[in-house]
Amino acid sequence: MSGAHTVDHANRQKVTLSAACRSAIQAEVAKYPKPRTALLPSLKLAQKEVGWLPPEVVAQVADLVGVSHAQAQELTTFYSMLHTEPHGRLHVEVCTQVPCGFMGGDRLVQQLEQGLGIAEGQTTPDGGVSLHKTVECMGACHRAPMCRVGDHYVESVREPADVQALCASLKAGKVPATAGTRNHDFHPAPAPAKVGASANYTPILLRHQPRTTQVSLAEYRAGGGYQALEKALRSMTPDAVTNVVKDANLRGRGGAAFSAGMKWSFVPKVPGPKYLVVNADESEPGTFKDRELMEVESHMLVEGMAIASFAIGCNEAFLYLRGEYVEAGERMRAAVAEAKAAGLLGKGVLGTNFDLEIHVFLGAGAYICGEETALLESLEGRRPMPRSRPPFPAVAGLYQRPTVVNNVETIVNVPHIVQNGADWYKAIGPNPKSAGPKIYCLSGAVNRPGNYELPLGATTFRELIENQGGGVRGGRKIKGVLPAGISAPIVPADKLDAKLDYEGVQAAGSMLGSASLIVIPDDVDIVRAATRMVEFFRHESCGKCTPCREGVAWLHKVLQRIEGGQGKTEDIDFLLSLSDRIAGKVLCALGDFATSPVKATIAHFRSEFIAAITGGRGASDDWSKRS
Amino acid sequence: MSDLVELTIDGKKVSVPKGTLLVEAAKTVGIEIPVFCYHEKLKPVGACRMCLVEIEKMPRLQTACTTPVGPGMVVNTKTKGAVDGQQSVLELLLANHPLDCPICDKGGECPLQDNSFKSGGTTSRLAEPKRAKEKALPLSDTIVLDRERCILCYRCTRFQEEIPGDSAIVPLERGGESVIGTLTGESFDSPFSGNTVELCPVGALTSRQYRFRSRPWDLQHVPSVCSGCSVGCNVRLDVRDATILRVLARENKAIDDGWLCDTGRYQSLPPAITAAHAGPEGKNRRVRSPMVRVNGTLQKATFADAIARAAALLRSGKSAIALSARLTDEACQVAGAALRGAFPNTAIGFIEPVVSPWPVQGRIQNLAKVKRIVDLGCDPWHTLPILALWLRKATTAGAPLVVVGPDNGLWRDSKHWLKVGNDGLVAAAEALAAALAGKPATPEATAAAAALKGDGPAAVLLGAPFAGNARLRAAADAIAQALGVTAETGFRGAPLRAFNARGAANHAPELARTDVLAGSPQVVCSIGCDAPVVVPGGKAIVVTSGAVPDSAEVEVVLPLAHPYETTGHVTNLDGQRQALQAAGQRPADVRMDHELLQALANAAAVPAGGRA
Repeated sequence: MSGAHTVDHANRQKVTLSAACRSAIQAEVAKYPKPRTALLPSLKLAQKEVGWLPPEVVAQVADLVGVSHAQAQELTTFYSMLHTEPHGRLHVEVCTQVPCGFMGGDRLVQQLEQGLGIAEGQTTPDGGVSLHKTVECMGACHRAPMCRVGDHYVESVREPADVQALCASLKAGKVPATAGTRNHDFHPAPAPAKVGASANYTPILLRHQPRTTQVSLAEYRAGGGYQALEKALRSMTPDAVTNVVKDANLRGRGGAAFSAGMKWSFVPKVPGPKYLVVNADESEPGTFKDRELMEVESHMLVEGMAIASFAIGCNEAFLYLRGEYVEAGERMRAAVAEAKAAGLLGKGVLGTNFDLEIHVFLGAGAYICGEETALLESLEGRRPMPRSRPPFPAVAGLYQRPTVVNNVETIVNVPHIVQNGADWYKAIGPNPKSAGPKIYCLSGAVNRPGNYELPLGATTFRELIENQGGGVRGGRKIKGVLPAGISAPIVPADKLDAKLDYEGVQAAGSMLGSASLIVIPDDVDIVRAATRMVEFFRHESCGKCTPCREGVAWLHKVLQRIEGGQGKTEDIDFLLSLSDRIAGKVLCALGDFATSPVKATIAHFRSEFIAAITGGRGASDDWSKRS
Repeated sequence: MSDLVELTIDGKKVSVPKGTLLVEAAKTVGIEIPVFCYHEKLKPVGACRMCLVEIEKMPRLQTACTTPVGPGMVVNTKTKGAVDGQQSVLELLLANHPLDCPICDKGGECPLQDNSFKSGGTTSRLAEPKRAKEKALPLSDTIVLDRERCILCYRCTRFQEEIPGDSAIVPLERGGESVIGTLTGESFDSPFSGNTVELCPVGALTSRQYRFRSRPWDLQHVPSVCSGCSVGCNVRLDVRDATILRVLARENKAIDDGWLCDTGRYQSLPPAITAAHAGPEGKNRRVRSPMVRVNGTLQKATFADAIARAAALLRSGKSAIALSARLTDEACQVAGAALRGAFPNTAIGFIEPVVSPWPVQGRIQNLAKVKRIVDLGCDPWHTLPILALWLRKATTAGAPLVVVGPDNGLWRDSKHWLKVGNDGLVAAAEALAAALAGKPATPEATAAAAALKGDGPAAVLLGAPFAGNARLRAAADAIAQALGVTAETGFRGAPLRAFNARGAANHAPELARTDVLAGSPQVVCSIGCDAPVVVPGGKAIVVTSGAVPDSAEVEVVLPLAHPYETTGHVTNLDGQRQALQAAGQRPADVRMDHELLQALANAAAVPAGGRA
């Protein structure tokens, strides 16, 4: 922690929140069914004004929201994006997780250290810029390497000239900007090639690629948008909507692949509020599909949420985005406002007696919030720790009321199914039992990383990498592919002809999950990659259950030792034994996930671990093979 | 019978009510499943994972503390898979837990130590350094936290959130860095904080009062009743070498539900009675031997001489005997009969009210089930804290609570708080009564009355200090009538706070209404009073389990056993008579209250300077 800030609380000038900030917080408190939901947004409002969250400010927020001071501090210290210490006016955070790390993230940290004249973890003497590397992923893997500057993303910082431009801008107190967005991409991607599985396929969801600007309401309607909502509200019963989604075999796109229609049908028909919560906490390294859907196809999501809400009898829906997705959040808010002004949301949607409010809610940096019950806890203003089940959210979810939690990509399928029918949908792709469009997030060492929408199961690992990805960068060989971000076992190079559907990837010894494919080239040091991935889970473990909290930290300590050249031969079997003490014994899936990077990398690349232990390597920031 | 579920645990047939958790079902057939985070009075969370068991047809191990029984379920707690699960958790819990059992207060009564002894490994596989966190961190004046010992079972934070509802401590940070704490710079302030020390399954939360003072196996446990107020919470007094070191909860489901307030737990203990444990000179000024004033100075005397001198002084002129309402039922009986007979010319009576102007009707435990609650200036959170926890059971089940008065510790749980000063209490109560009767009233009272609409049992509490006001009592009557309060299912009354007020009124009714100091007595004998009466220029006889007032008027001092050092009975605010059992050892001259009063009565029959 050298160069880290330490706050002298005793001699510090105490801060009082402005009247404007206080009334903004009061407005948040009035907005939600329960005041405590406003706690996280209120802390963020306070941090926006003060720059960080000193104790007296936390106390003021707690008093305004009506919780104990300790409860407000509980959230303040849990979420990565809430700061208990001040930092520079421009706070630069470089992603160094897999894949950003081996795609130049660590190099970017060094370049910024040189360019800004400070070490990582420090702030420039004028207080202008602070530099940190993070262990989280920020959902920009296709634009690696990248960094976040406050609320802004600066992406594809690949060339020395990009770094120079970034440093010059930061020193001038500015963030590089592209008009119309808070984000800046130094090398925007071209339109995806129509080749292989995409040659005769017209995308249904990502229909505007390579566009990065938001589709307006007028444009969306001109393309047939909101007709499905009209159809559902005017000519279908809620059960009919649920049934068509069930008949279409729409499987949840968040990773678990559970039938969406089935999930909706579990909601009991009881009086009182029911909730739809859309999970946009896209935090799995290698995953960036929901971000593009929200930033561009915002109205498709609004329409899908409206139809799903109608089906389950919900009048107040929540869209929960990861806190880093500020741009996507603002665009979604704009889309919701636009839809409401047009009578597509609010009281009496389209002149019917169906009412719907949509809350766009941003988290504050916590991977665990992607777990649906932790997400619900977060929405309730509580520490986001997963709940033990039963009860399931369908019975007792948000505020202990019946709740459906669906992924963004799942929901954007809904308007198309309602509009075109279950048979149309099942005909998309080779397998009617799990059909429909699927967005594959392709990142890592490929020439054209990005989101590629194809019929589910219409392609293999190799075809996707060659056709859509344009082959491996630098013509290198593939060491393996992580098919579902870093949570699922790595698929080694000899199994890349497996089909990219649920069954195909399972047969290859892994799982499709959210279809976030990270291509790892043969020159990446697998021990470093495994260490880095386990560090992610150590950092993101909520701490609720013993095996994950204690076990993953222990795994990381041992891996760090091996990675630094201090390993012992027996460590390898110990890592496997320790993994078994975690997997299957934890409360939620995160602890199981955390053992994947250990078990699968050792299973496929044991010799590399042995070499790291016996090869006399030293500590290094280098991602390439060292032994 | 349809509500019973049959299942098999470790080959034994079990039949328990639907909804029972596996961990509880196992107990019914003598199978103990190890737990840390589970506590029967807190909501299950499944955090520590210690109770992993195998259930046939389920792919993964399940936590017995969160899984309800199912018909035909086949549960195994001792198979290879279950034992592997439990041992995995134990190994991981111990990975970062310090090996400081020999200097840990919890050693000897520590579930982590016990479970490790039973089924843990003998060596650690951790080659890396253990995680370092703060040790001996004071959370408040009464509680110290060792963050390295904490196993993050969240019992303490769940207690504060679920039982008093104040969330005064919380988990901070996340993952392996998680710690228990408060907002930076604030302390753990809750009237119920001491319960977390008892709930802590390791030596993380410790009591500053008890820290490093004993080993659990050196303690004698004596059942008694908390002397802090009139609720009558049951306690276990832990005694080492004649000295009472700590007060722990001893569950009485009708009175305390297993909890204690901090006032009872930390402030009801008497100063040590034996010189060996009295601490440095001047720190503990408790009287240990009888004293009489000789030539202007208080000097040690025999008990007989001191009591004779006291009796003589009481007979020498205008005198009074002021009794504390902390005296046992037995002492009150002696005072009402023998003492009154022995000192016919002496005014004898309680120094504080023992008969409530608006007597309590209904049982404490009824509070948990009432559907509507009105509090007129009682503020149980601050005055009779355990009653507030009973009321929270009702409010968390949805019962509206309307509070009228200046202070309201249950503000989080109040549907309406008509916040008025002491002087506005009568008007606000009358307005509420009027609104409940459908008459025009203030908008606040009308809204509060609307919230109180409905059926079912109800409770009305009145603050005893205000209950002397007839208009307030009339308003309270009207409110109780409007809500249909009955003693069978509800609760009404202005409970007096004094430990044995109700017992005193029952056992010495003739002394209950005496305004004992009204006749300007010159000789006053104070027995057990918190503030002994000293009339300027008069003569004072002080019978106390505390310190002697530094005053020239004090002529005789007699040491008195504290209620915890006394065997007898007391009656709590809802009329339940409970036994006190003397704990610790007293010097022979430190008498129990009824012994001392009897001796005083006997001494009256003896001429001054003579022998009985």
